[in-house]
Order: sequence, then C-alpha cells, then structure tokens
Amino acid sequence: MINTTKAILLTIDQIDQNDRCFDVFETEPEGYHFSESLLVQKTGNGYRIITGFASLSAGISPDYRFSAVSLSADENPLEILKTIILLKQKSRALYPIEMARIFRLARELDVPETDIDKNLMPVLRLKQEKGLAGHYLQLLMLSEKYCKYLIGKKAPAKTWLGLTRFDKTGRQQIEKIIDLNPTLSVFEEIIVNLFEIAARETVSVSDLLADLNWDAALNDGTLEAKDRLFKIRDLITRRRYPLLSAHRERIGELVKQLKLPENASLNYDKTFEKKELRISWRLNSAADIKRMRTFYSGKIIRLFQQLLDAL
Amino acid sequence: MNHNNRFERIYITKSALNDPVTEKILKKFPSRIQRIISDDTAIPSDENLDPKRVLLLTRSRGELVKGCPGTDESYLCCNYQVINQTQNCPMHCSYCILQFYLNQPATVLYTNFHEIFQELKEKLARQPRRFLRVGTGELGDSLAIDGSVRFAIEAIKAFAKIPNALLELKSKTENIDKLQELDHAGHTVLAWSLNPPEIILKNEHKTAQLNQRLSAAKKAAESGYLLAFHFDPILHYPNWEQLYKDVIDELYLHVPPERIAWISMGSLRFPPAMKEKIIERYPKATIPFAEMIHGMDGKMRYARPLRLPMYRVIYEKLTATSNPPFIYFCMESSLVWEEIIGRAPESNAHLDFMFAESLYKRFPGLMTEKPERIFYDIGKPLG
Repeated sequence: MINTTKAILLTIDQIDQNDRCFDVFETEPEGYHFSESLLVQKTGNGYRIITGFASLSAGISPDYRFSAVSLSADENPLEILKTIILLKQKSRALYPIEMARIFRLARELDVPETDIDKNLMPVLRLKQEKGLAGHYLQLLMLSEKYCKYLIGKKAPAKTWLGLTRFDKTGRQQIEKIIDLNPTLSVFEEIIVNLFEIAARETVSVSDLLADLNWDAALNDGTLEAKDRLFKIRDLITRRRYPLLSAHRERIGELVKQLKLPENASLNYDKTFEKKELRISWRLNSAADIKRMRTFYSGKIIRLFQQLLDAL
Repeated sequence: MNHNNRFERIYITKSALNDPVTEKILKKFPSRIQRIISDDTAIPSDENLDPKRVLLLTRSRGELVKGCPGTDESYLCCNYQVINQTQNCPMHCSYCILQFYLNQPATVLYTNFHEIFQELKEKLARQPRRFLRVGTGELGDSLAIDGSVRFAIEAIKAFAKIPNALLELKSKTENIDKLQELDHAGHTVLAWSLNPPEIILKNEHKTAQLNQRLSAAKKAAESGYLLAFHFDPILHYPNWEQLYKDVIDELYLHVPPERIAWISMGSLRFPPAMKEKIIERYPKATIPFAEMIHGMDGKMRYARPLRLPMYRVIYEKLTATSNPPFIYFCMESSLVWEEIIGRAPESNAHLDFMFAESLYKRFPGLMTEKPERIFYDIGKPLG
C-alpha cells in the first residue's frame, strides 16, 4: 500500500520528461489521456511521472497547471508497481508485453525476486510459478509488429509466450505471415505446428522454413493473400501430420470416385478411430428418390467396400 | 540403481509410527531430514520440493484395493484390480501419466500392511469363483523403493495362500534379489515394461536398462515366478519396426515364452493437458509431437493408421513362437483387436475371462477349477 500521497498542482515543465521508466503501458486510443489520472513521484529537482504519460504529448501549454497525485521520493517501488497495475486494470486487463515490462522494471528497481513472486504475481493475476516471470521477460524480444498483431487480435498469454520458443531468426521469418492477416486461430496453428515439427525433426526453424520454401510461398504473386495463407497452412499441416495427411488424401480420393449425387453426403470419423461410413440423403422430390435408387450400382457398392477397408 | 537415496525429506504421520514396517523403512534413511507430523497435517506446500524427493509414510484412511480405473467404455479394459500402497515413483519417464494424475506433494507409502491385506482378503473372498489379477504397480513402481519392496514381499507371501488370485508386481527396475527365495506358490507374476534401449535412454530416465530388466526377468523365471511384460507405451520412433523386433528377440533369448503369463500392448496415450507438462519437464522429448488425435475417451493417442502397423509388427513377432503367451491390448478398441488379433473380446468381463481361460490352460495347477464365464460377467471391481 502507498504510504504518503499528496494532491498538487503542476506545470508540465516540472516533470522530468526524460524519465520514462514507468512508461510500461501501451498507448491508449486517441482521447484517452483526458481521463487518465496523473500520478507522479517527487525526485531531486522535480517530478517523475508514474502514470499519465499521454499528458506529456497532449499539447498542454507550459503554463497550464494541472492536478496530480504525488508520491514521496522514498515510496516503496513494489507498492508503486502494484498501484499502477491496479489503476490500469480498472480500465482493461494488462497485455502480456506490459507485464513483461513490469517485471523488467521491478528488477531495475531492485524489487527482490521473492517479492515479485509473492506480491507482484497475484496482482498481475498470474500463478506463482517458478520461472514464469523470466518467461514473460522474454516477450521483450518480440518486435513491434508482433505486439501490435497480438494486441489487435486479443491473443491470450499462451500465444505470446509460445513465440518465445523460437530463436531470433526464426521469429523474424515467421513474422512475415502477419502481412497475410491470418486470424488468431490460424496464426496459432501455424506457430504451434512449426515449433512441433522443428522439435520433432530436431532442425532449426530457419532450416525448416527454408525447406518449406516459406518465402516463396509467402510472396507467391500468382495467389491472393488468403490463398497463399491456405497453401502455407496446407504445407505445414502435411509436414506436421505426414501419415495422417496421406491417409486422409487416400480416403478423399476414394470418396471422389463415388461421385455422390448432389442430394447425398458422406461422413466418416476424421480421426479414424471408427470404421464407419454414414451416408445421408436429402429427398425432396421424385427426382431425388430416383437419383438415390440409381446410385447404388454394383460398382458403387464395391467402392464403398474399398472405402470401408481403407478407413 | 538405488532410488531410496533420492529422497531429501521424510514425513511420518504419528499413526504410522506404530506400524512395524515404518521403523525398518526409516533405517534406510538415517541421514535424511525426518519429521513427524500429525495425521491431520498436510505436508507444508511452501517448501516447494519435488514430490519425487519427499517421502510420506502414513496409514491409509480409505480403500486401497480397487478396480483399475481404466478408460471409458469406448476402449476395452481388462478388469484388472489394484492395490495402491505406493503412490508416485522416483523414476522419470517422460510419458508418465502420474505427473499429471497425482497431485500429492510427496511419494506416499502406506504402512498399515496388515489392514491392507485384510481388506484384500475380504474383497477377494466375496468373489471366490472368479480368478483375479491384482497389481501394485498402477500408481507407482512395485519394486523401486524400499517400502514398496517390503510390501511386495508381504504381498507375495499373502497371495501364496489365496487360491483365486494372482499378484502382479510391475517394475522398471532390477530389484528382485529379495524376492528370489520367497515361497510364492506360483501366485505371483513379476512383470516388466519393455521398450527398445534407445527409447529407454531418451524417455525412461533413471530406470534399469533393457538388458538389466531382462536379466532380472530371467532370474525371476529361475526362481519359479511367472512373468509378464508390457509393451506400453509403444512409441512411434524412427526405425521403430527394427527396434521393437530386436527387443522381442532379446526377450525370448532371456526367458522362454512358456513362463510368460501375459504380454500387453498399448500405444502412447495421455490426457491433452499433459502435453504441455511433458514439453516443460522434458524439453528434449519428441513424443508430444507425434501424429496424435483425440481418441474416443478424450485422451491423445496415435492415430489408428499409425498404431496399427506397430501393433501388427509386435504381435506377429511375439506370436512367431511355439506356445506364445497370452497377448492383449491395454485400452484399445474392438476394431483394433479385430484388425490385429482377428477377434475382439465382447466386453471387459469377457477379456477378464479370457485371461482366466488362458491361465487355466497354460499353467495347470494354478487354478483350482476351470473358469466359468458367468462369474466374470457378474464380477465386480474389488472396490
């Protein structure tokens, strides 16, 4: 808990604008700064800004006096961190990259590791897991482009942290997929599969991407962005599940040979745990019934048997 | 390999102090930190020690003899019975379900042997016409730590006098020296789980090597014990076909198939949430990245097109001998049974009966009467 606070009136030039160590939160949308409270801390000559950084760029005239809450110079850094977290959480949940910045700042302010684990983690709504703070710190390596994408897509922490499993080169190459504007689930599928293939084949992600002709697929001018994305996903999925993909393809070929009438559909267990075909018919007219009757030729029955055997 | 040395701290509940085995177990750890706690006190969790390094000697409060939970009815199970005297294991197998399943802060050894055997005898007596298989290796290794071995010794003696049951001690160790001279009356099966040396090296850390397990099995056979082996989990590795064939060659070089009561096959499977745990704990393990699907029981398992060829190779190799052992699948579908063995049990009870039938035919004198299907169909789990 913060020990001493004081309401004061400040002019902008009383604030040390170079001291941005507490500037850990993403810039909020335009206009937000009007509602952000200004929290400062007394330093030797002036004040260090704790929250309300948007005010610095809000075009306030130098002689305008605005109200702020001031903390004493000897305020406990851990308490300040807890306060800014709680204040931010009133408007929204923190992004993982912001948590990473908070962990970095906590270390810079010499907050003991035990305090980080016991006092900071709960405020951040994180489990007190060994090594978790260190894992979050790795998010600081993520580029602006990744952060913007992940924030925009409201990605869960798991997705953010998943990216830290790649080395720098790998991350830089994977980042290019963002240009194709994948949905979050497609993006997650791609990064998980790339990681798992590389781990299973014990190759670097860069080598794997080279092997997959990643750049060529990304920049294939003959295809629309969504088709490029589809092609890349397919490429990766086949590599991730080679036997299953081949099996699915074989089954798909046999299904094609059936040449099902338009009023029929065929379903089977895509995991192949069950050996079972389910054919369903939509019957709206005499023509539909005729199509069904003429469909079951001897050849088709043999194909069904083949399909069942292959499942 | 002495697994007892791994324990850093030992907790003993007050009531367990009265059990004769407690003192004997504690003598194994004269220099370890030992703390006596009341029966209602939980082990302090803030110490944050690996449960594999903390030993708790205590008395059981609930039932310990029960039916194996198996999996849901989409897959066939064998109506196995378990005694959960040891819970957790000092070894480190990357695929081990216990790392997900157990949430106790310690490896637990129940010391009230007398009560456990009372419970067992009472429950077995309720189904005298059924021949049951009972194992201690479900929630821990049967022979890895001293307290488990002591229980195993007493269990062997107890089962020698029980006409309608077989004890199975499942292990990945070679710790059978203390069992060799015991009078087991043929009612104990010593069992090992088997995998190729390369897989053991990469996934079954701190366990006995394949040749050590097989040498122990050979010694056990020489002491008149029945044997069992578990190809479980079978892992899809590069060159798996040759690797598993070599294991079976080695197996039959060490022990004659006639001494083997049963062999199980089961491919890798685990709850989906365990995948991340494996990645976290065993960063070099490649098993979470195999081609797996969500099975009908919700667990991750190899897709059928992957596991069928593995089962086929292993089954054909295992049965390419005169008088092959009884071979069964652990948690597999009727479809897989049909495709590999050519027939599937009609139900879990039927599979249980098939065990009894096989034992009756293959080991004359083991059972006092010919098994009758009806007693298996109406049979119930022990707990």
